[in-house]
Amino acid sequence: MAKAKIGIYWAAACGGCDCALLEVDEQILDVVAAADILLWPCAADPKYKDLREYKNGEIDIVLFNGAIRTEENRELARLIREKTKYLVAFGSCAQSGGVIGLANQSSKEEIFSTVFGDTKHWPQQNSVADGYELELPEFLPKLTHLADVVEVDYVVPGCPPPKEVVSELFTALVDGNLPQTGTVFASSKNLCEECSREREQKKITQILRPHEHEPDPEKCLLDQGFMCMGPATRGGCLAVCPAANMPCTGCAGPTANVRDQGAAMLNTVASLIGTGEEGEDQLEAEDAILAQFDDIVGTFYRFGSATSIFKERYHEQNSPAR
Amino acid sequence: MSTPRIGVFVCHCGLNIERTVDTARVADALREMSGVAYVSNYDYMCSDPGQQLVSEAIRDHRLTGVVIAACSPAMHEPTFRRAAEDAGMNPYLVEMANIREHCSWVHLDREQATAKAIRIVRTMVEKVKGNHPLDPVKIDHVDKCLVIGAGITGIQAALDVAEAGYQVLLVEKEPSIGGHMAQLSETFPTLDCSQCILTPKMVEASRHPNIELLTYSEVLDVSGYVGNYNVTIRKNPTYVDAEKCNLCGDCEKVCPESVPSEFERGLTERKAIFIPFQQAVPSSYTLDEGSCLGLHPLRCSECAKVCEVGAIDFDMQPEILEEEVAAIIVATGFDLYPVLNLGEYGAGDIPDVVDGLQFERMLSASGPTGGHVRRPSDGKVPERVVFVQCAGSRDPENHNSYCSKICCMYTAKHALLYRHAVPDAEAVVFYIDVRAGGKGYEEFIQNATEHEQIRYLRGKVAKIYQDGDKVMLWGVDTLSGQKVEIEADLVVLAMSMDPHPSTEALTKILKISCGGEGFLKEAHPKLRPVESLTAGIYVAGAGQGPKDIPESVAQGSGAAAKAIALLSQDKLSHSPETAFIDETICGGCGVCVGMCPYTALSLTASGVAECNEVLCEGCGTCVSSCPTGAAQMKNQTDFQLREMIEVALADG
Amino acid sequence: MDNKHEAHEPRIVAFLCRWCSYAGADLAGVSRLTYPPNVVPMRVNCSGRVDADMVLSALEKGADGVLIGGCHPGDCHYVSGNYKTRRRIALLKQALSEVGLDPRRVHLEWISASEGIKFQETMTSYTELIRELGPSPVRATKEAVHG
Repeated sequence: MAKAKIGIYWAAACGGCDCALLEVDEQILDVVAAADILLWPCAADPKYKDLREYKNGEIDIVLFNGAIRTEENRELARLIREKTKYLVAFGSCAQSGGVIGLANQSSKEEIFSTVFGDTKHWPQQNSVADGYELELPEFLPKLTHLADVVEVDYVVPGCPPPKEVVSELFTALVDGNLPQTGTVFASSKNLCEECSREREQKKITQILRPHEHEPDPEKCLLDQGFMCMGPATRGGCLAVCPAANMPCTGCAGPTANVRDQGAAMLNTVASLIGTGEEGEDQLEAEDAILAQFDDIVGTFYRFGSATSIFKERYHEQNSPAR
Repeated sequence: MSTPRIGVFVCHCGLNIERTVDTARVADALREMSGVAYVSNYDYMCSDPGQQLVSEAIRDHRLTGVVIAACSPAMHEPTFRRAAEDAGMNPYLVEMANIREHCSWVHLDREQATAKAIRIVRTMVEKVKGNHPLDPVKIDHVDKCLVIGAGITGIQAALDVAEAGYQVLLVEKEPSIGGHMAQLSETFPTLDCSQCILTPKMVEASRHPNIELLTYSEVLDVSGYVGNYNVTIRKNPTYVDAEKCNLCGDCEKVCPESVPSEFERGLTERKAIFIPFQQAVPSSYTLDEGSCLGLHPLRCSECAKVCEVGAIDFDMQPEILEEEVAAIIVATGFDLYPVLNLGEYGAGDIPDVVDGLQFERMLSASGPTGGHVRRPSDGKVPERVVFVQCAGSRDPENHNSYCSKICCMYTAKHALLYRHAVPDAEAVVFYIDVRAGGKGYEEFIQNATEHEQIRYLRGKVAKIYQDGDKVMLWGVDTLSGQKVEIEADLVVLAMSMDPHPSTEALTKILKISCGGEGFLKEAHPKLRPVESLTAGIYVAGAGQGPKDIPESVAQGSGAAAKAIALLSQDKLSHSPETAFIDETICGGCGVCVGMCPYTALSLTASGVAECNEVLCEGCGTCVSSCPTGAAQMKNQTDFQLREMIEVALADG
Repeated sequence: MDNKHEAHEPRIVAFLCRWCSYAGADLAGVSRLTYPPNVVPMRVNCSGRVDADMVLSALEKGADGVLIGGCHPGDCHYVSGNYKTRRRIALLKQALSEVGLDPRRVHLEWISASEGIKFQETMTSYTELIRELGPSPVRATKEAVHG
């Protein structure tokens, strides 16, 4: 059997996804044995030229991690799409913009001024360094996710994707047994299924944040008031964060029936808020709990804001400033 | 799924729709819509030829769904679903697009109304595209009916159901059945003796082979669903064996403890061991644990010592009964608005200011004064009694906003009976309006004002206070605009009617609603007056709203007829438009379980949620609370709604 | 008022619960109470069925305003669905404010089956409010990108 040809690409991302590939330990050797790696900028040193020279569809599968933040990300996404049979959105940023999607809440200018301040030492467009003219890719006005630019065949969710899921993908790859396109490599169910914490009759009487309060390690985090995204998040990671006494942040995205993960979680949380009693006499107490929220978008849309209505800051023309 | 072939039928409703909506243009626009296979518009779709048009099109054009663009689904949805069923189409593939109530009747501009109608119809077409054929859920049921409350309403309902041949469980919280009607002297407008017409019914209820009477009992819990409610009832111990008690009354004589009598509304006292009134049913004494010295031979036991038949049993325990019933009639009745809330009228501190029910007891031959009107403070016969109507009623700022409906009538009756009892006495009535709608009622009032020399003063009383041995009233005669100050020997307040204080807790147990005033809420104020919004639970009597005896009896019978209609069915049907759980997605977080007001949702042993479609009423609260989208509504999935929203907002 | 503002016809969807608000709308119809035609009504069994995704979908698909009509507190046909929606909408409004959207673009109103007049008044005043707010910036953004 001919060896599979695979590629791995790192777009706008932190690098965690590349590291996550190695989490599978010695299984990586099976992958190397079964496949030729044609593209992996993090490990090899391919040039644009090399990629352009492949025939269309010559690469079997490319694991694309990172969001589309720059013109280069976008160009490479399109080029890779041409050269590969199957394109995998690997990790939250490729899947849904990821945590860096929250940058869309700020303008390019705000981002640059926050990141670089007034330093003069960051490379300017078309500046000359060591005698070479620098051609910097344009920073796009909005960060977006892979599927916004090209068609995506598979999704491997997670920030970074957990080794169980990566391993599942590699097994399918090595066995030449890829599932039908559109498959998301994760559990079809939510994280609660994998979480061993004790759940009671659910209600939320307070909103707690993990840096301010130590969660009870046995009880459901949401029951305690921590905004654990587990209920609205696909399992597959074996609930590692709740197991480490940290609320799920929702990196694996929603289940197949949900369009908007943040909205789903918002519904759930708001439905549960209160003393467990419903009635007109409860409204004030409920409002007091609702007022404890800080940064709803950052909590419920930590990884999915770029694919939701919260993908930018809006400017109302006629309403008074609030 | 195969390609949808939706039929759209646009109704003119004569000119009702056509006047402001260009139905021809609506039809043309819908012809362009993807998935629409047939469009027609017609004068009256609901007419026989109109329905036939729908049936024929379903057959001839092999339609997979139908949208009737006409009136509200509340009007003709059943009509067209039946027509579709006759043509071989599943009725749940038929939907109404409401272009009359929500469009042609409320807009003036034909252009704009037509554009909106097109959006409405398109939205419903999009819904029908996603609809699936459904079959009504069939349920077996038991053959018993629970009636809660044994006042006149509950007694009537119980007798009617029992007469139809079904078992009835009649539960009453008090030691005797009969309710407030047992306290009344004579009833308007016929002035027949209340107890004389009530007690035969009480006896009949207690002897009827199909009625099981549970007095001094309370409903603790209700679960289950229409046809199969599981009811938990606590029968409180009376500490007297009703089978043995022969009503000799020896126990009562020796009992050392006295408390104000509830039945006599505090005008006199009763003992800790007592019988509420002579014709009480069941005919037995009750030992009130709350006022007894201590249910123990060492503490007192005087009653047990004198009881020759040995009926008194200090070891009697509460009994918890589990019953299964198909239907429940709630007839919890009323109580008077607390006089404590009427600070301007003395808040109950003025002895010679009494409420209407107290006055009933004074007028009653079996009452503490033997039917003689005497004032509570000194037992003198009052020479002038002032009656104050609307005490606590029709006063949205301070008290109840509603009219208590019966007070005009019973005040006239009180004044008249008082004048008969004390011929030279003076009766004065303060009123806002006199509301005497009812058979023979207006005539009764006319007689009272014209022939009985009862003085009617139009106006509200602002203040009542004690002045020496008299009671002073300040008010305004709104006809003359004059301030009025009247001295009275006795004042009778026609207190507002409240729902019985137990109503709220009971509605929570039953999971039925109360209206804003706390009265039991009916399913529809006009067309479903004795049904609650929960299938198989019916409401009747003064617990549903202030009403008099004839109306209460009519409602009791009405609720009984509804229950009988249910009990007589072989199997019950339930709408299949319920929630369901996609097990491949549900991870068992359990959020939905607590959301369901009907306990339809539970977690199975395998850790996923499950919806009992028999219990599910289809509200969809679980669906919108489910974080995974595993919970969905049949024929109203999230997907369908999103498609509908998109179409509703689409350009053009 | 400039021409652009005048040309703006608000696009509004309303999710109405079957037993109260939808029936209230029916009553407004039966009573021939006129109101602006900008609102496209959609029936749900209970306001408790209305979730954040439905509201956000509407805003994303071009709604300038979203109305939710439910039974008055204590009057919910399904006992307590309206309370849950009240909290969802309250939290959603907070979220919309965080990204600069006017929270009044989403509005919850209790309208009973007997309140035809309140239905009329709500439709009229809400349409007027949305007209004043102008086109939703979500719609404007969408048009700028794709239009």
